[in-house]
Amino acid sequence: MDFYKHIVQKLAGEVNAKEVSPQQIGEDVARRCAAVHEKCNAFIKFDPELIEKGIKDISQKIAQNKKLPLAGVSFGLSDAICVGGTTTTCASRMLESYRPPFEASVVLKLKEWGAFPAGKTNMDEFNLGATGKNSFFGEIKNPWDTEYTAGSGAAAAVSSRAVNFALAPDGCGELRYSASYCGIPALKPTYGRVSRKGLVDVAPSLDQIGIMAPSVLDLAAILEAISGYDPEDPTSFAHEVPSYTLLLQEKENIGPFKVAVPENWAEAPYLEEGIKKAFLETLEYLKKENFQVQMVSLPNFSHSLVTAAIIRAVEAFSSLGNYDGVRFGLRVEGSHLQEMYRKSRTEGFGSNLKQFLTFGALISAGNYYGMVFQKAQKMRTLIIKELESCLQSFDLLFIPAVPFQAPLLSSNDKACLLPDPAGYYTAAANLAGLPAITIPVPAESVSGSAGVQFIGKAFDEAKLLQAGLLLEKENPPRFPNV
Amino acid sequence: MEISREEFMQASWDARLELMPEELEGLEKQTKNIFEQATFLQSSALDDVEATYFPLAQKNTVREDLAAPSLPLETALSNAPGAESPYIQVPKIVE
Repeated sequence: MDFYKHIVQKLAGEVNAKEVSPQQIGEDVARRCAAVHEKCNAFIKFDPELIEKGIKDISQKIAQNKKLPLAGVSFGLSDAICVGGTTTTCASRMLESYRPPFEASVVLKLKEWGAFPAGKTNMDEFNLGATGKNSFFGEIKNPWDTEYTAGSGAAAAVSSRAVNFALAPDGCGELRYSASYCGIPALKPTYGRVSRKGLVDVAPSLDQIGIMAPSVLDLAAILEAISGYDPEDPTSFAHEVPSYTLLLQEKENIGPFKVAVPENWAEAPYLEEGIKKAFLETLEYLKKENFQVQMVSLPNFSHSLVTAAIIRAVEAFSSLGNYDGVRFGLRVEGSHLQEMYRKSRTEGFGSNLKQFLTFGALISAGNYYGMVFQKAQKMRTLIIKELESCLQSFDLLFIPAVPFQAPLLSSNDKACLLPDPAGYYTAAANLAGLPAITIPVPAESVSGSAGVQFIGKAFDEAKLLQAGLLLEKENPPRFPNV
Repeated sequence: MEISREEFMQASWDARLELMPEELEGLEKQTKNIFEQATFLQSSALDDVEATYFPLAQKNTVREDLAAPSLPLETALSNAPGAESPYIQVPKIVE
């Protein structure tokens, strides 16, 4: 039986009704994860024992007739999110054997609802970029064509239907553009909507946990499960969580919406014709569906990528300061303490990360603090005000997700961190903490699709899901064979 | 904005990192690239703008002042590369 093809609510219903046994699901998930790992190097830690343990817990609860909203639903966890009983490496040599002493709040919630983690997915080191080439554990291949990057193992695992969904960090858009590379939807919630406890972040003011899933209905079900205030996360907000799945069932709630499009959207560096065409066709479709589409002037939007890169570098320099070989992580012995710090960090971090942190150190010090970092923080204010003002008059902002299709793994022309050109359309939502959804639409590309993106008002994820569902109905998702 | 090789060397020391010559060259190129793109750095229009450090306005959240168990010693030491309970071992710093 193809359990992996079911949406999560249907699957959970079957498990709760005892029509499907958790053991059957566990075997199916283990088989599919092994296959996608072999093909794409999607996992850092693919451990069948983790699946077995999860299945055992669920089986016990089902035997006690407990009804679990996500019973038997499998998920991949990016290796920057902590889970008990296994390592959390952030795809770095520095944390190769680190075993976190606690679990992320999102993982605890999901387990409580009956879901189980299937494995820790591969990523660029500390989620700086989604080139699929900067992991200590090897390149991450696209399941549509292994010559191309998947961006992240989470995207490869979800698009291959190895797991029902995945959670992964989004600091400048990595979640959204790797999902677009693989042709699946993804959602970055409002900052503070989902607990960040247990996420190993590099830039606390930008990094969040987001969701990738095969369908918008799955995104809604998972968002409902993981949203809400967490007293253990000081950046979490106590904001009411609606039933997103119920909202999607009520047809009268779906649009038409007022949608703004930045008039300079086509000025992105590296914007490919295939992406441009797919975006324009989707724009026409929205108009046909009676969406009120209007071009608007957002002059500061184009500064968001550089602004985010500067802020992220400074925050990363500070956040990763405690990786010094003392309390955890790699230690390389030195004749004195300073030498130990320096050797541990130099050998523990990859080349790109070292350059990024050095840039962060540079602009944190002396005159550069005021000349560069503080100016970026001021530009952040203008970008936020511009977006807020736009979203006072419109329901949603509509833009592409990423300027280009999944790059070839053998090519280096877009593999830059300062700034990462893939984040041109995504970074603004991180700077402003706004929710954003990406949906695949047909395009000439390796995955046969391109990502388009809606950005909404803070805590208005419902409209994003509704607009996403409308696009998805017109463009049913496609998945690669594994 | 011109940045000298010495400033990059100092920054790598501040970050407790050692960069290979090719990594330094790569960083110089990327820094030049980002400063060229960040045209707003030269703008005086930002002078009176307030800086934003966090995306959404947040109230300070303080938990109740109640005693709670801390991380057990064994767990805290379990990830340390060098430990002799109840201490973490580091190189000797006093002759």
